Amino acid sequence: MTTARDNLIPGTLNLLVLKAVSARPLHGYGITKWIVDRTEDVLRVEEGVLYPALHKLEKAGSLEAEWGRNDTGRRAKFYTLTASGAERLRTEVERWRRTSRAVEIVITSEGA
Amino acid sequence: MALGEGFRRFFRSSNDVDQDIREELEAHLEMKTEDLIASGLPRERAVAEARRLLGDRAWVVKECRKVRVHIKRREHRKERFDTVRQDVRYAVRRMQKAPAMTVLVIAVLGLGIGVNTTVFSAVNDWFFRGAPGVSEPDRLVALFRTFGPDDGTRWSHLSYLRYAEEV
Repeated sequence: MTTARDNLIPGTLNLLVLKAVSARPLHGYGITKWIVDRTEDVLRVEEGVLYPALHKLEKAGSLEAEWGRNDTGRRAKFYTLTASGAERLRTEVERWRRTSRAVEIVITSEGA
Repeated sequence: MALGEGFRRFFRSSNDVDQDIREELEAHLEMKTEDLIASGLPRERAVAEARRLLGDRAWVVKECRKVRVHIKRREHRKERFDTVRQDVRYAVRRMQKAPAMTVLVIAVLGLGIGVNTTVFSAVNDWFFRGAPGVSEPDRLVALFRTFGPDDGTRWSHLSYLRYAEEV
């Protein structure tokens, strides 16, 4: 059951999911595809972990879920970003930028 | 129709929650399989690969269910709260429509509760809590006379002194 895929850095899944649905409602599979496409296959979402995360974001009020139909007419559950979800996305992006900037400073610093 | 829908939603069991999660995962697997087939995999291998990528489905269902149970509980609480609020609003509206009746009912209730409280406090003090200002109520006695011209609790001061000496 082990696969050679790049796991996400803990805590970034919510950020990516919120970003994925920020433009338009997406179903779970659509979210995984969006992330893989956008990162050119560098980041892969653990599919089994995605769904509990989606439901938790729904519980937190960041997402709203509704059954709809995809392009081929198949029933699927679509997730939409709520106003509080958009707010959460903003703070998560900020936090990520702060952290990654700090890490970047560390790894480019010369000498010890 | 709307009523039936409401009832159905209200009595939705955990089976429906599971059904919802399973259907969501089923949709995921189907779409993934289709994409894998489109990328050149034979159907059988595509199905297996999609399942493999999703991982332990029982675990996923269990994790999702935990969250859904919380959401459902919260919805129920909100529904109950809304019902109470509606009832209160309705009551206030009705009271506004009949102010005289409202005043009367409040007066009767107020009087009833007030009298009841007063009687209870008095009875409580007199019979259960003991007389005020008495430090050792169990040494308090009442003496009655059952002979002579004036039966009862009336005593002359002299008789009181005599009995007090002997007790």
